[in-house]
Amino acid sequence: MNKLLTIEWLKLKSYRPFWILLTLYFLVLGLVCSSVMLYLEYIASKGVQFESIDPSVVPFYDFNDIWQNITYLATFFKIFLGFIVVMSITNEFDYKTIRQNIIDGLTKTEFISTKLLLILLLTVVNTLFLLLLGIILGWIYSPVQGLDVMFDQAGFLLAYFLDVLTFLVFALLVGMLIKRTGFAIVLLAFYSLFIEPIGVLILSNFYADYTFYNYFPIRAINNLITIPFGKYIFQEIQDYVAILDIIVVFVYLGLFTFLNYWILQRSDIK
Amino acid sequence: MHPVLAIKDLHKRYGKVQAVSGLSLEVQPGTVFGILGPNGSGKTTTLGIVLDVVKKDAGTYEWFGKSPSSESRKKIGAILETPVFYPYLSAVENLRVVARIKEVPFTRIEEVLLWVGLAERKMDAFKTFSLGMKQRLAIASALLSDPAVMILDEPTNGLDPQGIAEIRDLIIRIAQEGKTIIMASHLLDEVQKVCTHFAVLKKGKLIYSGGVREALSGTDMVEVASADMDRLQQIAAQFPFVQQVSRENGILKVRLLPEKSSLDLNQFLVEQGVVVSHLSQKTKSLEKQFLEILASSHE
Repeated sequence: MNKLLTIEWLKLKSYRPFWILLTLYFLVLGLVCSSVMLYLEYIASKGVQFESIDPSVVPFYDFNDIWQNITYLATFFKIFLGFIVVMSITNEFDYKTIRQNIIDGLTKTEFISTKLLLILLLTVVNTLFLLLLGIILGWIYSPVQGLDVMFDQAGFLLAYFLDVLTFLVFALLVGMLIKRTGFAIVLLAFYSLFIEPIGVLILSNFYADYTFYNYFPIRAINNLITIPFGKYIFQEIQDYVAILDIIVVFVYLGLFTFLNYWILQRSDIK
Repeated sequence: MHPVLAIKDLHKRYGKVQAVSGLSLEVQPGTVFGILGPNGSGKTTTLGIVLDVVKKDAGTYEWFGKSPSSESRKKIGAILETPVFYPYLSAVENLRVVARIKEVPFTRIEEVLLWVGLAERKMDAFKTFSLGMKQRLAIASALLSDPAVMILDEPTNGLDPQGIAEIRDLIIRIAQEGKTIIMASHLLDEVQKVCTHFAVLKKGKLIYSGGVREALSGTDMVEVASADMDRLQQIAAQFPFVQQVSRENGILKVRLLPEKSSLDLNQFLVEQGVVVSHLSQKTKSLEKQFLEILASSHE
């Protein structure tokens, strides 16, 4: 495993687009996640009200609300990590280095494993980043402090981990299938931001009695962490991660992982 | 001793095209084995299959007498088609990736770069290299694991004359170290200069396999001309070591038995009182052999 991770590291170490995209991603994620309060205060000063509630009193960063709030917000940015993953696989096809790697003595399984390890590492770093951000922001803003409340709802971080991990393995699959960087990035963005969400919206209008569209991959992944903001205007929200949603996403994670291996195993590499 | 590579009854079809069809081949240790054939004859497909990047439809192949695995690939230095590296990485960084894959210490990188004459450019990005340098880096990469066998696919393709000479020189040096080399090429001159054995493929079928020296020896042709061509032909036909005599464009072409040369023929003619105005010995080229082999395989 160490060997495989080193191989991936050697490939990416001097690849500037990777580091630029990654830095930009964490910069934007950090900025957006930490400036919610400033934004709420700004719109409050403009006289905006949420159902007669002053936005500046919304306890966005309070323990233990903070974990569902920032993980929900952070999932919107995972598409950029998806682009990084797509690039790392389509480049290998573009340069034909995937073929040379295998000729040089890597097995096809090992090759996919290097990419999955990269994904795992990105997801771990990403989750730790959010954990750190949550602790700092909660420490600054939250009126309640202390270890017992701090990590009360931190399970959302695990859901976030699963969410991003599954999405990135899906991104890898798109890259494996399309092989061209530009096409793959456009398709990934289009499918996960427009085609599936709009499709689900339309289907839910026509088939309101059914829930099958909740099991579409992007929808299922996004269902893990539901939108938490309704509670600030006294609506019922789901403030937990449903077991069924976790099971569905795990099934997708397994399926995407298997398909990545399977496709490479049975195809000629040109 | 096991053959380095043994292919038995290999088949591969791409859609309607039968790329490889019932190919059987053996490469013995220490040989420089040329795989010849026109474009599209299945050379690269065959190499792709034995390197496990192209799926075979049927047949078997063995490396060093064992069924193929990633372990056997680590002991092979191979380049398919063009040199393939990460364009943004330097020569050293690229070779580090290969060294990790082949489980070779990084110290080996300096050695191979020195060997192919790229030590001075080792920190430059691959994309800044000329084609000749790329090809040399590919050879350096193939040498990393000090492999028993090297596979080269059209190694001098697209190079300028100086580049061709450099690569050819490298290949000969590698062969002198006792490594087995398998080389696909459509440049016959190249195979003739470098290889000890060769095989000819046509439409995915093996139509010839043998030694280069054997293919080239014993078929020398001598061209003679004289003032009186009829008499010359008559006398020449009486020379006991003649295989065949034919006349073309005022020149008599005489094919002699293997151990005889133009010297023997001339001596005979002089003894018979014939004075020649032209005498030259044609060494048979692999190119002619190759074309004959292709022509004689009616398909």
